[in-house]
Amino acid sequence: MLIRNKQEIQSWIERLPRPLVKALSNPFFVSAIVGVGIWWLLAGRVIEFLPSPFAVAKAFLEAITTGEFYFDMAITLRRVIIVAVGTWLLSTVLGIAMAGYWPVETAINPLVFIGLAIPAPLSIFFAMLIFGLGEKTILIALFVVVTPYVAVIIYGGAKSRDKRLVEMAAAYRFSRWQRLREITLPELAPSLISGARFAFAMGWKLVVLFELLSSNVGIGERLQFFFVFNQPARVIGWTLTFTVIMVFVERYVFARLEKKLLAWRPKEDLGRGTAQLA
Amino acid sequence: MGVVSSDHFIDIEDVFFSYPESNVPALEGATLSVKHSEFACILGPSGCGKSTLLNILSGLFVPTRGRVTFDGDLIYNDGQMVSDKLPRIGYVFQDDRLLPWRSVRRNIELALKSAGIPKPKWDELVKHFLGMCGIAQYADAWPGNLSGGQRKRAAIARAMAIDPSSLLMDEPFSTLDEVNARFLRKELLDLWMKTKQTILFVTHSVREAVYLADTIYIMTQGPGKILERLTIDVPRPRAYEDPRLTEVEGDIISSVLHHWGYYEPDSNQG
Repeated sequence: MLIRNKQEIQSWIERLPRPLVKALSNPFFVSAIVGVGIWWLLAGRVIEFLPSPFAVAKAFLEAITTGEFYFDMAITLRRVIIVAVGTWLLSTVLGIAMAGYWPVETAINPLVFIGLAIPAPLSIFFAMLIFGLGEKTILIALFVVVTPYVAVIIYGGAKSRDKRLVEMAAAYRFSRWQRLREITLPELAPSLISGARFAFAMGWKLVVLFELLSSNVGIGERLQFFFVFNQPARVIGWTLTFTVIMVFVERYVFARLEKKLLAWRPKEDLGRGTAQLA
Repeated sequence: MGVVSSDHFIDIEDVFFSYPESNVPALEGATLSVKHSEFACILGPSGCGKSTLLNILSGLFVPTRGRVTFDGDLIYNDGQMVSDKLPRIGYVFQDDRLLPWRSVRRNIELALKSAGIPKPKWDELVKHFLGMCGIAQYADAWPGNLSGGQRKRAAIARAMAIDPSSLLMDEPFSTLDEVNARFLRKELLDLWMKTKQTILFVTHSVREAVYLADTIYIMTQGPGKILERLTIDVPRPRAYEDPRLTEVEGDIISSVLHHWGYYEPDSNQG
């Protein structure tokens, strides 16, 4: 069948099943399909040891149907959450204090920048030397590595605050609590969300690395095990499970939170003077 | 302590102010008085210390020298805050300074809360003042989705809603187009006629000052002090085209040219 014009394309599309049209018009779905296609072409042909998408899918399904996987996942996830929440809270306090009080800034700034410069493996090696193997070591090493990054993000946001609103709050005699709740926190919301995202993503990456180096349980330890026993499909399959969790957290936690907290930002296409109800 | 005339609401005597990071004073011996229910304008060129004066009156800055009295209570005396009886003041800034992440209603409620006005009254006050300023339908809108004029009205509603003893206004209409600004000036005068709150209005526009004020204080170029006090006797309601206002405007402009660092072109030639 020859397609001669736009209308014909339109009618041809209309004859396809609705769910298929919907899927094909979703850029995420299309890029995933293209990516898996390229992977399938490369696997075993161009890159000899790269398992095919089917082998990985099999390993993925096998993982999520075994109890062992959930045991390791729970341990790793718990560590990621402790690190993400803990470093985020610590960084929020540090970032706000550094931006607001110059003595704190003077005292903490060099530590933060030294922290940024320390290579991640160095902190786990030293933590292992000092505290031995175990969860405490992993958590301490993670706090040392992740906190400076998140603190810098929040410090940057807190540093560029709008002084005019602070003056308004003073002129209208806002209480300390009102200033924090109504001005400081909403103003910092974008950097607090970026900081949380970063803490979570970096926490996950490094938990796996540190587990691989120093733990006898957790996803990282499993990846190390599969790697040593030459099971690349399982390495990727198990990694994929966490990728699914990360995407889920991004879409259903961070993206929603961001939408809710930053709903006040004017929509460019609405134009000024078009009042939107809050 | 100086004897303060009983009909004066604000008395500023020989006030000096310097910003900590600057060695040039912003105010150098400013003296002025505003009567109860008066509409007073401070007229001056950019950088003459007009806004600094309002910031002192609103409690943001403490003057380095001089005395400030509100309703007979001495508040500042020679670099010291001597009384915490600073009255409740509504401040309309040059920019609206609404919290963009709170609805218009919430912005006003926050000011009401800080002013200690009981919660059961908030709803009525918000409705009343937004209605008075003609934006009742935008109570639940985000400020960022309103026009500049609508935001300005919301800021005025916030300043008036707290039942202030006086309103300080810092060039509130300077960023608006002239038609919008004229409309809002008229509305402001209507509101003032109803509430009779004492208003201290800062502007660099001579036309705006003569249209609005009972009394105009003309400031020198910075460091600021008062050059002249002028009473505008033209009865209200006034029209912009009123020849009496145009005449006063012309007189002011020709008298301040030299003091504000300008010279009449003709006098320099030949």
